[in-house]
Amino acid sequence: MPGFAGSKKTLALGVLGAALLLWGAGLAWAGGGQAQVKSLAGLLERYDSKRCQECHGEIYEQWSRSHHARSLMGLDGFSFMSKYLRKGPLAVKRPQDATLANFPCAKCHLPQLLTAGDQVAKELAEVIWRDDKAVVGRLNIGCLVCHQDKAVVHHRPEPGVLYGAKALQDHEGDVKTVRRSAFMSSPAFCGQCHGMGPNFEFTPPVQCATLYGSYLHGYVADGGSRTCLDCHMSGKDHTFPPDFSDREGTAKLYRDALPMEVQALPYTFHPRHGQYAPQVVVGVTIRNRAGHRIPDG
Amino acid sequence: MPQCTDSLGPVMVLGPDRKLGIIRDTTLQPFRPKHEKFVIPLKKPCLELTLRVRLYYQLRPGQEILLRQWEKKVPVSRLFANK
Repeated sequence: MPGFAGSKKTLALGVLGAALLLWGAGLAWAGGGQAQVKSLAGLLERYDSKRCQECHGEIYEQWSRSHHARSLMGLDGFSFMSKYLRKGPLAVKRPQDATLANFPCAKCHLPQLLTAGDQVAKELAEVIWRDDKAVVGRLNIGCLVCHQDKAVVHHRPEPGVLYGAKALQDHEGDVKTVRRSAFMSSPAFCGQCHGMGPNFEFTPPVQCATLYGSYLHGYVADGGSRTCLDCHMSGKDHTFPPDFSDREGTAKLYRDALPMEVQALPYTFHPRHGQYAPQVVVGVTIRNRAGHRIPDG
Repeated sequence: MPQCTDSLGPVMVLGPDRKLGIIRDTTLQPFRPKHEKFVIPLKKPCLELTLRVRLYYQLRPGQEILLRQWEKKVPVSRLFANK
């Protein structure tokens, strides 16, 4: 029946159209409601924190000294991904063979990568392979990672919205709306990256960060009530100490966290007739005042 | 430090690409002071010992950050009175 065939065709087109719409919306949801990034240059441009620097100069300066600002660089400018791409379960024969599957570390070290495509992973692998630290050093946990992508978990971040400690209606710059996110002051916010142990969603699983797990099960469980921000973001300090490059600052932080007592007892042990054992017994007690194990990792 | 295996056997592994779980944890934990006693036997008579205790944080082998240093001179000549 011609009428029925026509309505079937219309229905099929309608279903196809709806499917395409949903697929496009899914892409748009990735990365704060914007279109998926297709190139490394696009990733760098979208997540460049310099656009925030003009108005938030002091915070930008603090952040630039933090490990968040160099999340793909280890101590002393070491590019740690180079080793894992060349040898081990995440290795590739050539950087062109890399996909997002070779970058589970990005879950915490560069979360914005996991919303991009495999092409971006290939380009990143090439940059790391040739040890281009000028580019690697620009990939980091910048403003938009915390204040947009990771800012809320009870719903997806809204497109074109930033999140912070308080709401603002007329925010200057590209993003006009700032909403308040209570989640950002919760330890779970930091725990998204500062981890609880194995990441079983990857094959093979990887395990790097266990600090949040230690906080929950070794500190809160024993009655602790301070949050990450109390110690690591006092006065909204965006350096998030410790900065391991600052040896003096790190030493001070660890000294505050680890009080130590030493007692020395010189005496002669006399276990039996005619046997004497002069000795000194040194007793050391170290307490941990931090909200998690030390060291961790 | 937290000591991890790959969860396929009892051998400790290094690197986040291999670690899975923790087999032993010797770290300093919140609310759990760690006490250690070091017994230094004195084999030969002497007058005085200089005791030094250093606490340092090792970022990686060869890169240590000194946190605390404690030193005390302890007279020990009387411990050998019976010898």
